[in-house]
Amino acid sequence: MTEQMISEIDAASAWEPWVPDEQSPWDTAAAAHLFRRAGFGATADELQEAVRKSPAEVIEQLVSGVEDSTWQQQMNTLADSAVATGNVRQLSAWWAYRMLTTPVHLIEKMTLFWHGHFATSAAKVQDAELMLQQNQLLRTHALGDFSALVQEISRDPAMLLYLDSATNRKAHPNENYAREIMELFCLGEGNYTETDIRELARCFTGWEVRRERFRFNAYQHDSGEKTILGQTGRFSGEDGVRIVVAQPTAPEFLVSKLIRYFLFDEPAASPQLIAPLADLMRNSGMQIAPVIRRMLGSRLFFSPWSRARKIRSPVELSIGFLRTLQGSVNTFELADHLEALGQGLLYPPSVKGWDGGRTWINSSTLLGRSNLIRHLLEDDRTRFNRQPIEEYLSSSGAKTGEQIVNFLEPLLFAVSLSDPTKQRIAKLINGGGNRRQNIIDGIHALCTLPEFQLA
Amino acid sequence: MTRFPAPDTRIPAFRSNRQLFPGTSGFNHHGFTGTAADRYNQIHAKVVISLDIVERRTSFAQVPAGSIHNLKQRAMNVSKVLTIVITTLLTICAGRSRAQELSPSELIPDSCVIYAEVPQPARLISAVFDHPLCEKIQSLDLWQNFTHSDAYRKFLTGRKYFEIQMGMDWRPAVEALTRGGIFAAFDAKSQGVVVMVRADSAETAEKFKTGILQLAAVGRQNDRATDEYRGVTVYKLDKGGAAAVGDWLILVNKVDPGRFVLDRLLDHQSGAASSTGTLSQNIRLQEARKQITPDAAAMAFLDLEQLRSEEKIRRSLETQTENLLAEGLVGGIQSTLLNAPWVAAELKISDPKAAARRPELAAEDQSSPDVTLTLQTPFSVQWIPEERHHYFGSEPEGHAPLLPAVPDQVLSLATWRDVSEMWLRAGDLFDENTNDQIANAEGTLTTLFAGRDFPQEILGSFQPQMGLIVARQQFSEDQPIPAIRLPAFALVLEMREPGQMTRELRRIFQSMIGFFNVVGAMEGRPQLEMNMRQLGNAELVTSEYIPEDRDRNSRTAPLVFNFSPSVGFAGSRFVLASTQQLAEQLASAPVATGDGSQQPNTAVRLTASVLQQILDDNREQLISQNMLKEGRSREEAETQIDLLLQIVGWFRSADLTLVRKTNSLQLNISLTAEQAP
Repeated sequence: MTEQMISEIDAASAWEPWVPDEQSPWDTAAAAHLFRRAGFGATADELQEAVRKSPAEVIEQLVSGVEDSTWQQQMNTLADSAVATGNVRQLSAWWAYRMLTTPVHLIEKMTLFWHGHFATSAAKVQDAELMLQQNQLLRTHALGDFSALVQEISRDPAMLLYLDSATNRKAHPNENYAREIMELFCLGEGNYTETDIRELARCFTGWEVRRERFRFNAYQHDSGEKTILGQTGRFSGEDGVRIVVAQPTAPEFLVSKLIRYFLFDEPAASPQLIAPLADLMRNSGMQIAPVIRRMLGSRLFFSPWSRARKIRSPVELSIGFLRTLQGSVNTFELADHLEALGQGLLYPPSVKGWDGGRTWINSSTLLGRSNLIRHLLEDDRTRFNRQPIEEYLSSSGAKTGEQIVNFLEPLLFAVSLSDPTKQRIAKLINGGGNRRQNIIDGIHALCTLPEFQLA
Repeated sequence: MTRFPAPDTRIPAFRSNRQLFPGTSGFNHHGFTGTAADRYNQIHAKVVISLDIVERRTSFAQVPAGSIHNLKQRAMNVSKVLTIVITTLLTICAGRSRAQELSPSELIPDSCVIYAEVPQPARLISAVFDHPLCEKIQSLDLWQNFTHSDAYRKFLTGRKYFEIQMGMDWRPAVEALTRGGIFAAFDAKSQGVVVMVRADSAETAEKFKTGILQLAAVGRQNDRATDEYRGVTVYKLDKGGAAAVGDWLILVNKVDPGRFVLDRLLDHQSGAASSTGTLSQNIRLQEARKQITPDAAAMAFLDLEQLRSEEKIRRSLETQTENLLAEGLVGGIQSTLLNAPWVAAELKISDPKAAARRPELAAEDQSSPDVTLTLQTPFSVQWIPEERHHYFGSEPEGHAPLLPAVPDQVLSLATWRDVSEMWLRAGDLFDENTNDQIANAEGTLTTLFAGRDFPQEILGSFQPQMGLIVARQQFSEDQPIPAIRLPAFALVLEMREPGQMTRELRRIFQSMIGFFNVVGAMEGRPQLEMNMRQLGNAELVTSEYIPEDRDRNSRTAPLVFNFSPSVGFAGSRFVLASTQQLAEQLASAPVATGDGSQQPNTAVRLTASVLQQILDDNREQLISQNMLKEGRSREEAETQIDLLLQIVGWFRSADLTLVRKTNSLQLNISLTAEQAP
């Protein structure tokens, strides 16, 4: 898809609600596309259930879903246990476990989005409790008020420690956070000046982290007059954040990132395409949920412009593979593998987060992604609906090579596979010798196809 | 020539076709062939032939010609009489040869370096299946679920087949099949393993042979299932084979040891056996056997002298331990193994039936272990090099101290180790790298111990008798309770000069707490508050973390709240404890009474009921770890952890002692199960 093609998309009709028709029906493929983007994939049963409802109903469930309190309690207990060890690696494993078991796909997918957006690495923070605190903050505001989220994250100890802003004195304002909030979190390059950064940094003076807590030190706050993005006053840190978020470019900046996250990696969405959603966000008081709802239910989302137009991130690849097949796994090892593939949970590479798109794929990571799938399949601790893979497939009615390929194709692939490819894999599975090994080899072969890298 | 019936019809039929043992060629054998009756007749023929030779030799003598016929006639008569007498004797001998049993060690080559025997497998079977624990295991949900699995169904099918073939239930069948014992050996020369099972009769062995071995061999694809060696059918199994001779069943994984065993058995049956070249001639095995008690359920022998002739093994025994902990744990044992000719092991098990018959025994003898494994080797103080005198001490040998006991004690370790000497001899014990690390550690520790020379002035100020006590912690409701509840632990040491060292150690402890506070403050950790008090004759210097407001009533407080580092002084006793409570208990505990000279070198005791409580204290944490590591749901993880807790609860204690005697070194490991309710 080229930039010209993008510009040719009618921005007004692109975001209109999608109405399935004969050419573009609401079927398992469409539902799988929705679940892959709004979550990490769906099981065969979930897809069957989804197609029995209307797309709007399913999207509403995804956007308005609430985590079951019992499950949530279990996750909180699990998180506390991970934090009690003081080891952030345990927390990475906990998050992977949460992604694998969450009943509310979109919340977790959005939490991952915000983690990449407000990137904070435990490699520097080195405090499991603070990383958990930030993670829960991102989850709480995942589909809520963006302004509130930015206000909270600005005082988040993990964020301030990560950006070396644990101390900010009026004599020497620390510009790190002021720069990042404008460049990376809210406005994007070109929408502010160096003066704006210096002035905003003055607003944040007196903001400190002491004993793992945010503290406002009034004695170190510069209470003088500041001019930020055209507004002048004796602004506090909160005022500074409010002014930044209120900039017209803020929703545009965020919507462009959301389109890239949910619809297509490249090219960048045109201003015309962004505008309707940015307006929606602005008009809804910077709420995220209405924008996501509109995006997921749009004609553009279900059009060929969006399908198979994203490269799976390591998290989408592995969690998606497991969730789709009801897999459970050693999450410590999974977290380690994700880090090796460049997407360590709680370990983003820099304050810019993950670049995503084509950067996920190179000769090294391609091999690593293939090895990860094989490891997941061969590890005795990996179970699929509490069974070995061969029993799981048999209980799902997929016994022969052809049945297995036909069962897996709509679950794992965003595009249809060619008949010769399917026949080749089916033959591999039907081969003599150890059936389990043949199935593993067959699924592994499926997951090394270029098509599997697309979401 | 008179032919007599076979003296023992149970002797297996030997056929004349001489085929090779699987995988061999050109096998040289010299046994008899044919049926048992044929075999007897061959023996008889040999006797007649030899008489004939005597006769001919007689004829070669210069005897008057007229007398020759008479002499020949008389010789023939004598020959007939002798034939009758000798064959009768042979018949008796043949009958007796079954009584004059070959010991299993006479069947295996002297190149065997490991030998083990279970003389009465029925006892072991009874110990397992009649033990109350067996019933408990069978009542577990996990076991019940397993009995519905395909694997269990397959097992049952196999067992049923075995029962049908043997014509009885599996347990009496196994007992009959192994009545004469199970024996195993590892032959260093061929790298082969021999397993020999002696059944109660040749019929039982035959049933097993035809019913099971045949099936196992036929199950092999694209290969001949059987072969023959000296008339014995050998069932091919992978690289080895199995055979039955009389009441013996032989299973090997290599050809050579199998051939040796068969030759020995067949030669013995033919009366041509000799013990030369067999393990029974091994003088070290004979010595080791003397150490085995008659009621041992199983024994094993390790020929260290032969093993050490292997360069790799010798080198591994000579390898330096490379760290202080390993040296302290096994240094002396390593030197002993480098010199001792053998190691003997024996396994003793209690008889659950006897205990059930006499319940008052169980009540009286609460500490009687259910399983005891004893490893014993000869010992000489000359074998321990000077640099390892820290381990056993020079004469007289060192004994572990008698340690005081505290409530909820989960582990106690009492030992004699001259750690100061070990540290100072590090240059002789470890490589350069380890010595560099020790030098670095020494620098840090000297700083931490207020400039005192750590190995000499700190470690050297204590006697080599030392103890480690680990106990479950009790947390009061008005304290922060950590999310992970670690047990408290303490070192119990004896000061050489209490008058001088009490003051020194008190001051050093105070400096250390100050140091921890400075480092803790830099890292944002809670601070330690110190206190001093007298408790009877004991003096305590305690410290505890002061919680911040958010942690004050926390039930998921950080790990540091497991610790309240404290020291206690009581006479020459010095206690360094991770918690105030344990320091108090150990400092104020009365001196244990008993004969210190009867103490072993090292004694370890693990109390299962307290371990169960500690695990239960951390149940939530264990469940979480299980969920993350195994990918299980909470329900599954709960089941798994509760099963673990249940299993730990079945046991009372586990003990380990290392006893150094004048001429022997003994390691005892025992396990005591909880009495059935």
